Amino acid sequence: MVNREDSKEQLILNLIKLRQRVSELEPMEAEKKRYERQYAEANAMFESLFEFASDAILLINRARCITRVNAQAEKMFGYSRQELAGKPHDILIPKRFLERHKEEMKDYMSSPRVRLMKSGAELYGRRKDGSEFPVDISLGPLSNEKDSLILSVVRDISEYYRQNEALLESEERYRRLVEMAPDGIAIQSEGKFVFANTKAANIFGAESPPQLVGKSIWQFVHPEYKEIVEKRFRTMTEEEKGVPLIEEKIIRLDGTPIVVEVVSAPFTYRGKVATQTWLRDITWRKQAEQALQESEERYRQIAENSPLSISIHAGGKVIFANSTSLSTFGVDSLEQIIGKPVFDFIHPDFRQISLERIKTMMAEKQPAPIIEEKFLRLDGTTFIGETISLPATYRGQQVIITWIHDITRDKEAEEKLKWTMADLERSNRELEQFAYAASHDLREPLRMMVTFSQFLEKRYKNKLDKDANEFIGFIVDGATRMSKMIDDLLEFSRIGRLGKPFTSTDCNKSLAEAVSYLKVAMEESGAVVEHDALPKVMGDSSQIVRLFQNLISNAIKFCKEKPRIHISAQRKGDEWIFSIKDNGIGIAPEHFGRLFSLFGRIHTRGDYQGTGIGLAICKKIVERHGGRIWVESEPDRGSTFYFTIPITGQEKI
Amino acid sequence: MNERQKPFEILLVEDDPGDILLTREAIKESTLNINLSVVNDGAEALDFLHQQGKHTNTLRPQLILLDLNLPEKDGREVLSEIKSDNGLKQIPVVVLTASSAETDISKCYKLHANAYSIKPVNLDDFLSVISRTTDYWLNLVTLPPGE
Repeated sequence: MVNREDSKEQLILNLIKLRQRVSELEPMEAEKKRYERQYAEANAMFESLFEFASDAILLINRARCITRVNAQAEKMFGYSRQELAGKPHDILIPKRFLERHKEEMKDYMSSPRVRLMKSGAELYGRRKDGSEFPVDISLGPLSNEKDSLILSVVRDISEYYRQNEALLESEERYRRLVEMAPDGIAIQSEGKFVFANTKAANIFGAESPPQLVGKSIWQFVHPEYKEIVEKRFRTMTEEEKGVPLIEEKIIRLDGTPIVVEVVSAPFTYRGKVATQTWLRDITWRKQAEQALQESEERYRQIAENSPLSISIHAGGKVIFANSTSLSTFGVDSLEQIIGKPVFDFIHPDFRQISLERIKTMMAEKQPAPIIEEKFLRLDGTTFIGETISLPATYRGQQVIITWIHDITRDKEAEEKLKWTMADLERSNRELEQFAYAASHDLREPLRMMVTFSQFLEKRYKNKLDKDANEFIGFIVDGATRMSKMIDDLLEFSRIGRLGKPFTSTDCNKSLAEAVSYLKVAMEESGAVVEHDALPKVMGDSSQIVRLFQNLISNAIKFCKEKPRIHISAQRKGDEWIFSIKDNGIGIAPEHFGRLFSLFGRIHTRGDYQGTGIGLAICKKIVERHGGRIWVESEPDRGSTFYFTIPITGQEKI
Repeated sequence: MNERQKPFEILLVEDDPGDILLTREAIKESTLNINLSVVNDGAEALDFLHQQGKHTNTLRPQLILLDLNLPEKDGREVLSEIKSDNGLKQIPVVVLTASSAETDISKCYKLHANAYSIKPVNLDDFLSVISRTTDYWLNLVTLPPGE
């Protein structure tokens, strides 16, 4: 230590120094106290911050064991701090994340630094009861002399998650709503499409929304609507008002114009002024409207141009009438019909019937059958109309539609025809009676002439001179001929009058019968009659026989050499064409016309005998059978007579 | 020769003088003994048959030759009355007419005419019809007993 002398002085010195030091130390002590107090305050603040932080705070040592936790950590994980103290922090992590977590921690330990919370890392905490919850974690190194710790701040973000998901769901819901909307929905901002649903894209002719987004809206505006659209945009942007629904023409991407219904409203989209637009393609509706209009026009035309009067009445009053009704009911304008009671136009005799018909139609909802009714024109005159009516709904009303065909003229014509027919029949009958009576009554005096001339000749033959005998001869000849003509005329008149009903007639048999009647003439002339197979026809068999007989008889008669006659028949369409060909003297064409007329002789009596009625009878028989008769011939080249018989009924098959 | 003394009684109902004359001529040429009575209309014919009016004294004919077209009552009516009269219907009636109408022919047969002959145009034919008709009815066939 020190010596004494020195020491005393030294001691004093030291004492002074010491006092000095004490005086120096006194404020230091105070300062220390202040520091200590400050520390204690800070510590208390830290403690309460730590303890009462709304996030869970855990201190973890390098061995990844929990050294300390706060109250929120206890609450969050469901463990008490005693339970957690010294435990590996793995117990707070769901098992499935452990591996990943270990790796991450290892990385972190090697270079610890502050890592702030970030969402989206998909971290989960595990409670004591095993349940999990999403968390965000901030990490920071915290070292003291003993250990280097990690401060882990854990925040339960379940609520955030829940809210976020609800938001996402809600967004998805609206997105779907928009996407699935049957109408097009599009948003434009600064003149360009920024959003469109698929329907909107399709309306504008794009396959999908991306094809539309970014495009100028003005390329789709039809020139006719440019001004209107501009005005609508001004209303929306300047007045911030929606614009009402209009029909607008737009041009699609491919250049085709279509008609759409559009309604728009302004709104803010991502902080910018935008407008949203709903569109509906009404092209089909327009087309349907057009088609409907055309159809209506077509039916209107049909109704207006109908030759029938068409009218509609409801509640007993006329509510529609076409223009034909004007002439039918003798009025100048539709006003004279429309609104008038239906019965004004129906004859009193037919009002009851009409009423019944209307009642029945309304009850049964069935059309009423055609009837003939008497109608009244405006001037009081009447006409007969054929009427058909049916119940219908017209502009929501129960109505009756009526077609009236004015058949007055038909009726008159029918009546006239009936009279004409009756007249004709009477005249025909009279003619036949006349022919019959004439021939019958003419025969009597004629017979007297003939018989008494002959009587005269017989009794006085040798008492008169040669001239007288010749004269008697002329009288007898003339009267005989006339008598023959009368017989023929009688026969001619009988064809129509006394013809039998048609039956199936075998022409082969008819021909054979005709030939049998001509036996004498054939033997005298040496005629040869040949024929092909002939058909069966519907006819009056005795008249068919007569027809063959007359034609063959003519062929034999008008022949200079040995007559050769050939008969055949050919089917053509719905008739048989018969031909009778001979090798006779032939006929000059100029005589063809006269040939078939009554007493139409073309040869002098001296050359060929006959009254000239044979072919007229043939013609009448053929015509009665609905056929035609004609001749083809040349003088000296023979003749072919043709006649046709229609094929009817069973012969057709 | 005929064994019978009394002549055959024939009634001709005919209005045409020519036909009456011709019929008479024909009968004149006949070898038969015939008494020909002639009446000119239907009413008279019935009087004759019923021996009425101016014909109270006549004989009942054995054959009637009847024309159809007669004045007043025509031949069809006369025929009908004869054939519906029990006292007269057995007398053969031969219709002798110019009518060749089928309606006339069938109608007469329906009224029980015994024959229907159409008057021929030729003289010889006419005479032949008369002679052959009378020959048939008076000579060939046997008639019902008189009265």
